[in-house]
Amino acid sequence: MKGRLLVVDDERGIVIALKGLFTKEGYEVETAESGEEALEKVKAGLFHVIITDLSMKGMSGLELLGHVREIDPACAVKIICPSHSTTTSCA
Amino acid sequence: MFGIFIIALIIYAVVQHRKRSRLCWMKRGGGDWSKWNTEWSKFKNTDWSKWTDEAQKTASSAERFANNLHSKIKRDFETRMSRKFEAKSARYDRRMRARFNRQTQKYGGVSLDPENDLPPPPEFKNDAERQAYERARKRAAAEAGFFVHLMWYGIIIGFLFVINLLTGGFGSYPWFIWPALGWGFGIASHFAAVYGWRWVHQRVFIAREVNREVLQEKEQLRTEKQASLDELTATFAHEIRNPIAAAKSLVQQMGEDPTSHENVEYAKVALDELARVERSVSHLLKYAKEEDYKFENVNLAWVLDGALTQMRSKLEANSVAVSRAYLSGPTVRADADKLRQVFSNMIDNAIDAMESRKDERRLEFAIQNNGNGMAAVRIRDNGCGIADDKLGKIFNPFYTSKESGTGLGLGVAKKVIDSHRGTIQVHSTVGVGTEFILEIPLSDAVRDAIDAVAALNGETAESADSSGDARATQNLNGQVDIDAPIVNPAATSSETSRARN
Repeated sequence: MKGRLLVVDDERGIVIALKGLFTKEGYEVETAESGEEALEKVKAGLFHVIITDLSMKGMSGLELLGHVREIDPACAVKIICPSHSTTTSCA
Repeated sequence: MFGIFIIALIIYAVVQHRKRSRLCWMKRGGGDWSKWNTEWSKFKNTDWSKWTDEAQKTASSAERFANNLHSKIKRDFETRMSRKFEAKSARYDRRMRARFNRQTQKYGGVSLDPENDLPPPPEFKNDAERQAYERARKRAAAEAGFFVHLMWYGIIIGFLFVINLLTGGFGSYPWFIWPALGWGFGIASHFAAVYGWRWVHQRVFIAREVNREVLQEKEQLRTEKQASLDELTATFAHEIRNPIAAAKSLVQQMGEDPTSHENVEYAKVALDELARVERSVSHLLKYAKEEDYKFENVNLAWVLDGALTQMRSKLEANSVAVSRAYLSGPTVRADADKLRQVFSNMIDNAIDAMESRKDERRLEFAIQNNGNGMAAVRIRDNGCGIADDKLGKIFNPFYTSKESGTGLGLGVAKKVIDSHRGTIQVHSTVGVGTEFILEIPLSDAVRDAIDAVAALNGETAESADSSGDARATQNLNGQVDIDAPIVNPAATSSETSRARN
């Protein structure tokens, strides 16, 4: 296992496509379709990287980032935001 | 002084003219009336019908031109502009009237408008004295008018005589053609002096000013349109690019590993995403299409009833109780089909909003007159309501709170209502309900009738926003009025979107 990933997006197609891609690369991938669901999964287990959309219904990507920081500030979580034209790494 | 000079000029001119005419005739054989007879028969036998036809043609073409111009102005200038126009014209009229009064005071010491008279009316001991004063005043006014007219008459006829003297005559018409022409020109110039400047002012100066303002409005509208288009493009790009990216990636993975058991699911998801794109595009096309509107005078109640009939099955399936607080609606200027679509859309939204409610789903309709030349349709549900922060966005294209919505329903509704030059307002309280108020302009005939009633009530058309007007129109249209909103206005937030063009 190379590492644990969490893919968060409110669009199911994107989530499934990313999951397929990363699984093929050999990562262990968890998915969540909303910020709230993602937060539950973060609480339940450790992730190396979280890939999240910025604009989602309910909790947005940035809010999710804040909550993840609160849960475990020491944990080096990378959040990649694919919703804009240039991929931004924001953590 | 000037008048005396002119009269002296006329007398001089008449004497000179008579002398010369006599001399002329005497020279040709001393009182030879045969010439008079030939001239008179020439005048009598001239085919004047050609001239009257020409005049009629000119008049009718002018009338047509005026009608065209009138309808064009009516069509092109929005209500606010024409109101501005009317206000300016009224101000100009007042100024002209004041000037006229000042001038008549100068010439006759009296005015046609007692309110603008400088000296206050004298105190009268009895009615007889008052009547005598009135008689004298009227006579003085008539005399003033007569002298003003006489001045123009003198100027014109004097001018004609001078020309006649200088050129040796326009031809040999009978002597009374000169006073007749002079009289005609005198009257014409009299009216031109009174009305001409008003006409020029209205048709040229005010029209120019209004045109400039219309252009400015259009320019502003264009920038706003551009801004909203940019926003729309950004949203739409997001709406399309994401599903396409997902589908592309899924198909790519299917191609890389054709035997994978996950391919079935991938194909299904990819298809869903593509269907989403297709739906978005078709809705956008519907939204963006510049459709032709067929504006007719339609009964608002019929349109609303039509929408209710259209939605009946869905209303019954969701067990929604409908109450209609109107008997007959006013006649509005609208495209019935488009308006019915809007109402159906509103009803559809209301049903969706009431889904969370288990029982007592209520949908209320009312038609009333707001007294500003608009008929208002109120659609009120007791659904889940809209939160304050979302209230401002609901008319934005692609804004939706539903799982399967494209967010274009209310956008289309707003566009249609804007094209009708109406307004949409929404009041909502979360958990209590939502009320949409759609205002649609009344047809011209109804509006004229309202103005007439307002005039009877002693109100001017400009101040018709007051409650008296609304009262009058309610009786006129026989509609039921519901004034108290079910949602408390203090506890609600409202978002008004005003039609612009």
